[in-house]
Amino acid sequence: MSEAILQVRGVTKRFKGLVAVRRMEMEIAEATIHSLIGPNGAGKTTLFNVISGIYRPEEGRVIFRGEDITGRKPHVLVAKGIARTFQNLRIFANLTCLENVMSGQHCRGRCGTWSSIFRLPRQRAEERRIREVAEEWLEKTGLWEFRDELAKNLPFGLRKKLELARALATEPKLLLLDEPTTGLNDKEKEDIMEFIGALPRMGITVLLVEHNMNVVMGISERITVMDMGEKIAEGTPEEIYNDLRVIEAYLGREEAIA
Amino acid sequence: MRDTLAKLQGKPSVRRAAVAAAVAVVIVFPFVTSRYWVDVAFYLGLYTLLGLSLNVILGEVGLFNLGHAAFWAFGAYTTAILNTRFDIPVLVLLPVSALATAGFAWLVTSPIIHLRGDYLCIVTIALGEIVRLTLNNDPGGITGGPNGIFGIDRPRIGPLVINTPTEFYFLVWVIVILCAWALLRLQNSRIGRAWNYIREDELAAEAMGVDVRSLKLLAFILGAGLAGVAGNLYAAKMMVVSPESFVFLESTIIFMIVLIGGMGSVPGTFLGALVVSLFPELFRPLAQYRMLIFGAALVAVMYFRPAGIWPRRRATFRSLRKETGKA
Repeated sequence: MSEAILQVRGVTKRFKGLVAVRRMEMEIAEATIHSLIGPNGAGKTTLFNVISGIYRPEEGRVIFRGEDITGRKPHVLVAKGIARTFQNLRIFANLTCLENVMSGQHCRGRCGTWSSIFRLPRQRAEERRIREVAEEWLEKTGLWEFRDELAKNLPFGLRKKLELARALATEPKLLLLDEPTTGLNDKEKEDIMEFIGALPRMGITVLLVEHNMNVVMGISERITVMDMGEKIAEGTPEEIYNDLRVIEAYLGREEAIA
Repeated sequence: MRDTLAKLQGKPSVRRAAVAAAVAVVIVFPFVTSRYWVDVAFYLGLYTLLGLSLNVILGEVGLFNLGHAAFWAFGAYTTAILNTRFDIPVLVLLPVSALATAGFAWLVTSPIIHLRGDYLCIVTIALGEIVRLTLNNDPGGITGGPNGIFGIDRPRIGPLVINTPTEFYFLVWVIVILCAWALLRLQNSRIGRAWNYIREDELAAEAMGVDVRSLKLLAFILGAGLAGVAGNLYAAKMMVVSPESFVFLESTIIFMIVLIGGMGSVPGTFLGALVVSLFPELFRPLAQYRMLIFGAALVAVMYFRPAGIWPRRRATFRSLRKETGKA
């Protein structure tokens, strides 16, 4: 087992008395795919928002590559190497696909107002780099032919990919994906999971949030299961599959509903 | 027709020809018309500058600022007070007014910068009114109350005095063209794109590493600074400033310039200013009905071209590559 890139230490997040996440503990090994699953309302997205800096936890710490990042702002975390996607797609609808993906490189640039107005040599070099990284990810996600298309004109499946490309263009060490397959058909799901499965080979660690257990079984190295704001199980896909508590709390209930 | 327009806009040759034609018109204009129209064109330039300055805030970042006249007034009063009290030359006060207004904007928008949409809009309306009422109330006897400040000097460079309508016309249009050039360059840069990311989706922009707060403040500071320049030019032209020049209606007019032209579009702002300042002039013979027709025309524009007369065209891959070159 390799070094933990992210450690969640006793994180508690409350919303006006409602405890969304309670004393959560989690460790994510570098260059692996780690999944966070649980039924709707288990607190997955809340924990996700704590890690990505949108929420500040009441208790506990988040440690990224040995550094305490608890409560740091999202734009600071992106620069440190944590990128994310959103559960309900948040692309820049009226901008082109290329501009969307170029946003990822914003945090890698330094040039400001004056160097942009006067197009200083270092600003031109930086702009070129921003564009080239964006081009690279457009190609890798198969969106190259849509580079000049406004993002809002893309079909849903491609917009999901665009959001993924945008997050990857930040050159992340850790990529947080919030239900990347929601709303996709089977072919698209397979396609995007295959793409995600290849990320650890590029040195990118993935934290995958899903409520559909079947999606994550095949590609996760480890799985953490949450229910009612608490961790109820953790282990390899096989261990989780056979864990009685998981079956009861998670699958059992879903079957009961169905 | 809409498609043809869009296609024409997209062609670089058409755009170059349009810019060349516009510059030629600006240069020739004062020599072929009357003093009256040169004066009208001065105010057109002034409103274009105000439109460009609000376009940074409203058009690029999507911050609903309905109190822009406050910044214009701040620039004008900075020039008026420093010139009449301390005899500082008006031209020297041009950058001074810009910086002072930018500083003022930083001071007053810092606490409200996190407000979104309508909430920000309401606070900026209040800001505009507070500034106007403060000027009216003559705090410490420095703003001259409702009468304002008289006897502001003309801009001078050595022996050259900017005095005639034609001279003022050229002063304002040189500044307008410089600003338009700078803002166009900003649009296709890291800063300009980040502004657009914020306008499209603030949370996503933050999550992509954009320092939303700082960039919003930057837009306000820059926009207000340009409005401060407009204030300086206005004070120099009128030689008198008073609170009644900076009423809420002025903020609304500047807001309309940006909306009619096209949010975030520099050529659109030129057209918006043209419509807003020329229309009332052209329909002057209709006397009291002209504002009615003006209103109807605005509604028509927003109905038939909701994105503005000349909407912003996004940069294409090709144009970006041309700007920064291949690796």
